[in-house]
Amino acid sequence: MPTVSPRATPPDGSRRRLAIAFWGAIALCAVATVLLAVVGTLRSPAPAPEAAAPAAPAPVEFASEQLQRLFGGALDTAGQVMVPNVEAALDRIYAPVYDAIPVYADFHYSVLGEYTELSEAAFGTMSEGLNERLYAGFADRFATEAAKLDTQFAAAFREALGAGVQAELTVDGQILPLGRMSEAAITDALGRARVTVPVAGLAVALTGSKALAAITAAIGKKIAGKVAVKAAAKATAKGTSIAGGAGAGALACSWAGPGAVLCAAVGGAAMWFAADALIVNLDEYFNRDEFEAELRLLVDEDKAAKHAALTDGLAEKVVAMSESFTMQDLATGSPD
Amino acid sequence: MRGDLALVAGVCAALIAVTGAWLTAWRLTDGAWPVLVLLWAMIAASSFTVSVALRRERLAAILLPGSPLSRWLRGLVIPALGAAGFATLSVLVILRLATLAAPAEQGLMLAAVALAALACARIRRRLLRHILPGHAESWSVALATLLATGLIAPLLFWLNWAGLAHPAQLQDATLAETFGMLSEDLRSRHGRPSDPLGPFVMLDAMKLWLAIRPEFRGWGAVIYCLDAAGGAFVVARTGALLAAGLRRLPLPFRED
Repeated sequence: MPTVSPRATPPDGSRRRLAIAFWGAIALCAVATVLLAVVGTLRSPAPAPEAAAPAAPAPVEFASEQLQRLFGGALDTAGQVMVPNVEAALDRIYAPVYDAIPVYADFHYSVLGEYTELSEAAFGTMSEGLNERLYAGFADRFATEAAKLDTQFAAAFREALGAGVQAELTVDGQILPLGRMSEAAITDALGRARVTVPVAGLAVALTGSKALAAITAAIGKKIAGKVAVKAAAKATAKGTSIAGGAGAGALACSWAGPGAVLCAAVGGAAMWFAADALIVNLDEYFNRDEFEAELRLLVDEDKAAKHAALTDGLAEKVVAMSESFTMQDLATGSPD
Repeated sequence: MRGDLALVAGVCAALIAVTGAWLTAWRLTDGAWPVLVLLWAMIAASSFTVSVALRRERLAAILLPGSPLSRWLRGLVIPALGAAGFATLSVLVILRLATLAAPAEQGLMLAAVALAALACARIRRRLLRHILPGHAESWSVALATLLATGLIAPLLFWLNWAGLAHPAQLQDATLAETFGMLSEDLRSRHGRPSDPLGPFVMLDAMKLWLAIRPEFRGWGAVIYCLDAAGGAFVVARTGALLAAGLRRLPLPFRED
């Protein structure tokens, strides 16, 4: 084995000097930390002794618990403020739908409407027809109102938080300035109120073409059922009137000689539509109110579902702003 | 054992004092960076002495006495580069821990330092009975690092998995918003190292943002926690290296 020295050890004296320098630096750091902490404390908002000039009051920094309490209170207040706003927004969204019900009933109780609905039921396009007649412009109205709700929530949260902060800062009638850290935290919270779980995002899910088709499909199903029942009932009544019409037509058209068959067919068709008009009118007379009431009920159910969705959306917004999650929650899918 | 405990106390005190001085000064002034030089030098010098001792023993084993190569192959360059690189990485990790990590994470990392320092001293003492001092020192650093990492990393994983809560709004935030939320604390202090720490915050934000994406949910969270636990390796190696390095400097209250 070669005898090369593995390490040149410094002489004892220089090692001692190095050790003293090093540990001296560490001690200096420790002392400096304490001194700087003291300086920091002195610089932070301690009540200044009565200065010669009327000194500006020191900024106030809220404790973490105090900030959390202020945020929680503001979220609750904003949530309460939003309850009537959601009602009003839904009223505006659904007003044209309710207004369209009598117009739709006019259409439904017309010969043209009856045949249109029958053909739509046969081709499976009842939902599209209902969308056009009852829910025209619904998606746009919903998106606009949902965006407004987001803005209103942010404003209500800002107002409630501002009021809470001002109440905390008011001492003996004087409003103290807010500290930089607390101001940053509050600004951050206000920003989050705008970006967190926007209710407007719900509009896409609730009023997309598929979602709207699902709403009107339920209404369409009921109307298609009514139309089918009505058509079946009319068939029996029409059978006799048309046969009668054709027979009477043939008798009346006997003067036409070879054209008597055509004349009889025209007479039959006229009787068909005359019977249609009569039955539609009778149906309207006896059933229109009930039909409109049923439609209103279906729209009411849809409105209630939308109300629940919007309320849940706002509640999620409040929860998202005040809750937290762990990686375990993400992996297992369980909320905190 | 008392000597080893004193060494561990010295390692922890040195790290806390220097990091604490920098952190306190940084909150008050832009001129806090010289303290970081001391931290860097402390780690680099420790790493260098351990590596140099190992390389010199290896060279001594292969170089024939009187060979002119011994003038050139002195075992300094690679240890110096390695020490500079690791010290830089270690300082950045410590700064991140000091400024961004939760107190529980900081506590576990300090435990990793203490554990690694103690293990390093104990293992070295046993190895010295069997192998050359340079190798004993290097091996003791490696084994102590592995031991401390093995013990602390699972705890760090659990802490990041189930202990540390993140604001729920992060789940709907964009990458830029996540970065903004994480750097809020740094921005409010306006210290000089805020900018150098920016990439760290960005990296943290990116990791967190990716981990909570619905597409990566589940395994993304596991990788995030594994990555966070991996930081224990750097910190534990720092503790072991400091124990090896500071051992050469007799403590004021103990003669080695």
